[in-house]
Amino acid sequence: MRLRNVYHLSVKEFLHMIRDRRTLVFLLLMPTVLTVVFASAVGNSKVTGIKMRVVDLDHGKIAEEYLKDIGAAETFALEIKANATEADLTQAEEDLDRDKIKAIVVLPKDLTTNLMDGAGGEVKAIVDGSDTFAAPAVLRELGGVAVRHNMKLAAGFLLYEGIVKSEQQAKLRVAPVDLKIDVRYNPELKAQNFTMPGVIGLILQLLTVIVMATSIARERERGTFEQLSVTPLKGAEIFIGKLVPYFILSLIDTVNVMIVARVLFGVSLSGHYGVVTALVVVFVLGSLGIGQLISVVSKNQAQAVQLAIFYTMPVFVLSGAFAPLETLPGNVRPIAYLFPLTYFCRSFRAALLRQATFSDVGFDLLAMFAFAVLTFGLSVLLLRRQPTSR
Amino acid sequence: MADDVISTEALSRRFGTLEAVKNLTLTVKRGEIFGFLGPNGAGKTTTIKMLCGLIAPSDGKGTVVGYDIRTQRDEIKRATGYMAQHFSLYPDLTADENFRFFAGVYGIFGKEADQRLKELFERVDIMHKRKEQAGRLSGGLKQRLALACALVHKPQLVFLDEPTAGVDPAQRQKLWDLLYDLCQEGTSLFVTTHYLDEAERCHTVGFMLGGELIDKGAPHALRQTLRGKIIGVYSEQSVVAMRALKTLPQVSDVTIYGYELRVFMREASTPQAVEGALRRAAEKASVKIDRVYAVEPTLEDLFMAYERSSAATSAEAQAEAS
Ligand SMILES: Nc1ncnc2c1ncn2[C@@H]1O[C@H](COP(=O)(O)OP(=O)(O)OP(=O)(O)O)[C@@H](O)[C@H]1O
Ligand SMILES: [Mg+2]
Repeated sequence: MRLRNVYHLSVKEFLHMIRDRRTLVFLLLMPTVLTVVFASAVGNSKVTGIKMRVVDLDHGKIAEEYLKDIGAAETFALEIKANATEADLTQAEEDLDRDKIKAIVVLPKDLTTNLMDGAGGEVKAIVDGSDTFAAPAVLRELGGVAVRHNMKLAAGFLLYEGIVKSEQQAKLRVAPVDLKIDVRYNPELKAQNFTMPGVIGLILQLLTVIVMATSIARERERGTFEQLSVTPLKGAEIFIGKLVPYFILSLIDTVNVMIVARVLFGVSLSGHYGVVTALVVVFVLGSLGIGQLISVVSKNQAQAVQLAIFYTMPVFVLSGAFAPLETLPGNVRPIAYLFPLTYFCRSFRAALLRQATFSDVGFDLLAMFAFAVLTFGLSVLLLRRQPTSR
Repeated sequence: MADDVISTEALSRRFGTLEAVKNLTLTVKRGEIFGFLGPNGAGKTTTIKMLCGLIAPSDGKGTVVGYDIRTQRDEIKRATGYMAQHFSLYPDLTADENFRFFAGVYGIFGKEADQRLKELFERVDIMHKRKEQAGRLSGGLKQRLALACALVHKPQLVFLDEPTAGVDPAQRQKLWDLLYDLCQEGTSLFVTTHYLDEAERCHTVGFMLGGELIDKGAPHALRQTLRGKIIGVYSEQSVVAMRALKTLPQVSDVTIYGYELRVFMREASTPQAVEGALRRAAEKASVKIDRVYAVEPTLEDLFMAYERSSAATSAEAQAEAS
């Protein structure tokens, strides 16, 4: 490999890049715009405003308190049917069928009286399980309400029966162990802090894979690859030469995206510069490598784009960019470790949120580096094996 | 042999079941313009690609500028230039940038590249368009730029695959003048073309047909093989006359050029000897023939003759098979 040849190719590739203004603007803006979109839409893991109807058949005091409790949660957009009848319940079920509401809470007839008599009661929740985002949120919230409410009731009974003297004592009886929570690294549990590193990785990967995959395929399509092939250029020189301008572009995009993440979404980006840079560099190299591999096996640009999408799509869901790897079923999880984005997401997250050091992310760096070397070497081998330029 | 710039032995290339080039044994002398002729799909481009190391032969061997086409591809690449059948420079780069890129990869840069650019661009007369994007150049200029790029490393041998396709006559003339210049300086040229007037300008031509080299020699020598087999007939009703003459057993084909018919005889003969038979056939169809005379065979006649004989042999083969 001669550096001089790499330089000539890079210059040429750079000229292509600035000649095609529209694509260049697109390549520079796309990551930033995507970051804004992803961070505002996907980054939001808190579900709010789920339509829920409370059918109050009880009309009593307990129901009133229950309602107050549920109403305080911002998860719900409540519709309260006070003084409801059986007809209202039927109506509510119909509305659930027609997707007008997502959940129904039924406070049964005589709930207050029954409880006062010392008998148990039952609050019924009907939830639309087809919405896998809303349903768990509803269940979680209602569960919390139920626990809190039961504690309040129990404390009330203890006081009422004279077993304890004060509310303070009652509380100690009912819930003697308190949970003291100390959230570190992301104390506000800001969802963007978790997703943003993943989003950055995702966008970087999308950009690099597609751009690189089409670069050689385009030359093949235009017939210029044949002209390259009759020059003394070596495969590795062609690859590295083509890679350099896109590598620089990716780094510029990374900086853009990080600035947007910081300024618009207040994502904390306080890692060690060295670690952050190393992670981005190695990850981008690996992604460019897979782009090259795609480029070598495709005959034209359309094929290259198809393959690029075929690669990036599954990685989207498998990498843990939006949801932690723990959400993947156990037998699928090992597949995730085949892709560099998986290593990047977790290590980049660690670097940005927890100021991880080189020794913390060493394994991830190594894995991504191995991937880069593998894809690069394979591309060169494959190219050498197919001197046919058509 | 030392003065052969190309020499192949039983070179073949298959694409699946298709034999694009069959058993090609060919030598091209150093310092010559070699014209490689043949209809579409004859295997010309495939041969060139094997010779300049773009694709590997399926069988056979060969040397180009003294290097083995299988094992010394890098040496061949350095010593030869290649101008592809389809324009294959970068359309978004300027003429200048294209040239400098190719110069660069051959290790020519800086002052040396400036000098080479000036020399070659003046030579192909493209200096005034050097800042223009290659894709916006006219057909003739594109080809001249491609030639300049193919010459950047002073190759001993240049392959030109249909360099004049789609180029107007004046531009073609200009390109051929350049080729003669190059040849004068000792560069060997391997040119494919579908224009038979260009073939006449080559020192030696080879005819490919169905992947096989069916004839090779100096254009005039090849033409002479048809001497006496073509008789000119002048008739004002040329179409009817053609139909009438085609019925004769000794006539293999007739082609029309305005009022002139070129009658291909199966055996060499003279106008005097066949005039009677031709006139009788015409009379039977009540067409008037004005004159019967000798004509000079052209490469085009030869081309047609080759195609005809190959069609006849394949028909025979089919008849035998069934
Ligand atoms: N890469 C390939 N794969 C499959 N078939 C091919 C390939 N390249 C060429 N062929 C076939 O080989 C035959 C010879 O093609 P080739 O391009 O060498 O012809 P040619 O003489 O250059 O024709 P033309 O005058 O049209 O340029 C054709 O039938 C063509 O379809
Ligand atoms: Mg061809």
